[in-house]
Amino acid sequence: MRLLISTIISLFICLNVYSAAETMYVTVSGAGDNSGDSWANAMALSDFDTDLTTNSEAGDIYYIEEGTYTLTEDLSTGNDGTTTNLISFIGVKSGTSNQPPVASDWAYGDNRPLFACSSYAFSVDNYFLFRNIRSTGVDPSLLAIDIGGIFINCKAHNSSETADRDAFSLDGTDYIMLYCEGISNNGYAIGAAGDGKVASSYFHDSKVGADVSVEVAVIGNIFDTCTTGLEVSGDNLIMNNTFYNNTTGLDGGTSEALAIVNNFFDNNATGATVDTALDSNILENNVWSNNTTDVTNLTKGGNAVTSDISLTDPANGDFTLPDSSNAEDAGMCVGVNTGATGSYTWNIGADQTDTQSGGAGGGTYGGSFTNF
Amino acid sequence: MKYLLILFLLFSLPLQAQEVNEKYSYKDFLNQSFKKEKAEDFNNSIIIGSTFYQEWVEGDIKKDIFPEGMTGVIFKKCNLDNVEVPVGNTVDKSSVNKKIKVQNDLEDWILDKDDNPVEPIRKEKFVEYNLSIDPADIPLTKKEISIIKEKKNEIANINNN
Repeated sequence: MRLLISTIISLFICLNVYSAAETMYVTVSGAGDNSGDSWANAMALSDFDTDLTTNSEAGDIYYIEEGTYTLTEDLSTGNDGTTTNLISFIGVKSGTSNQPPVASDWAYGDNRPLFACSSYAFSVDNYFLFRNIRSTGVDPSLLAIDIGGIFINCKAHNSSETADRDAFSLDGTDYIMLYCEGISNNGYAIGAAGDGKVASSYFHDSKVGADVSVEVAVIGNIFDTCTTGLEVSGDNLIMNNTFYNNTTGLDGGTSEALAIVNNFFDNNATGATVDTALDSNILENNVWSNNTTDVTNLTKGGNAVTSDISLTDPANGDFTLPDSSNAEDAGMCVGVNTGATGSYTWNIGADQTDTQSGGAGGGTYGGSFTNF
Repeated sequence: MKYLLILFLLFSLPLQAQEVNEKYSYKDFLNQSFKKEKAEDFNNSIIIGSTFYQEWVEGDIKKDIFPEGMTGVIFKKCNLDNVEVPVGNTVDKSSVNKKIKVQNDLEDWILDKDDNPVEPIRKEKFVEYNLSIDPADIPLTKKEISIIKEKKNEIANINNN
């Protein structure tokens, strides 16, 4: 009897200690036994909530089918992924049957599953990946990750009347945000505390498009119609972004070592500003177009383009360059002066399609905005 | 026996007639009003998994958003916080129908029946940042920045320096 009990206890311990990462499936209504082990047994939101809170572990992947998931409490967990084994939430199109789904099953635009958070948050701790997920609500931190957070192809809209609430919250270090859309009408489309990367994303109609801290790379984004497009407070690389129709496009605050390169500042009350004029804030190859004031406490820098260039149709979300603009092929890039030979061209701003007749621009590259 | 079966079917028909309301289930109706919609589109149906949450801005906490005469609706797995659900309709226990209001700390708090704050929605965050969850400790004047964001910024500044 004693042997039997000790065997059962050992087995129980082994199962808990060595339980493997799992692939799980979630739909709005759930299916079968709701265990999540297949689409036929998909978890509903309440099962997903319980599993995430109690059982999630590094390497787990939750495939979440298109649909509206209404939160009636915070969706959160204290469990963590690891630097190399994240816990992932991946949105897929309605009717996906592959197990596991393949990239062609991934959801884009309005097909992405929507977490209707209202006054609650979808908030997790460390080393999580959100891919192809949408969220709406008014919580102070709508979609939130602490350390090692990754958002890809996600959209968050915080419509709260209360000031300074985040659509995306990244409270820790080492975050990555790619190909996302953020809106916080009275707050921050992204509120980020540590070092990270923000690329190919669209932040608009917010008090602040992105509020980032130190050692952040901000590349290829569009900041549109914000009180402040990009607010930075440290030493950052800000490259190939388009700042359009903001009260202030870029506010560098007290930053002392900014590299501001290949950015397009158009139709802003103030294009770029810092608190104190310092030689260590570097600007090169930027466009200053249609701004009331181009720069404050900064110089426009080397190779600046100062002619007014009207983007194609920014009011309707088209920030592409017009035909034959002076921003084409005028960006900083590898060139003969760096020791390389050949023709290298890079446009200024987020748009890299070369519309110039006979030009040899960078061409259209991945991560375009067409799928938002 | 035949008559018994007919009687059973007659009595069970009303139960079977209450079907899931496809138009209003699994949808996001954040801050929307339905006062101009037809009550018939709602009546005697089951609405599942939708949010009708109304963010408090001013006036009464709970907002009257449903059409006049709406009756017989069962709300399951719905978010009805800050929503006045008319008599004659049912809020299933899987739904929420609390009162929530932002306080001077710029955080959302759950209110009691007399509209007094009871506990913050983000109770876990308050605990994580060693902030009091006692309503008596809510600041007497409105803060300029949320008490939690203030704490986060403090920590970020320490880490970044």
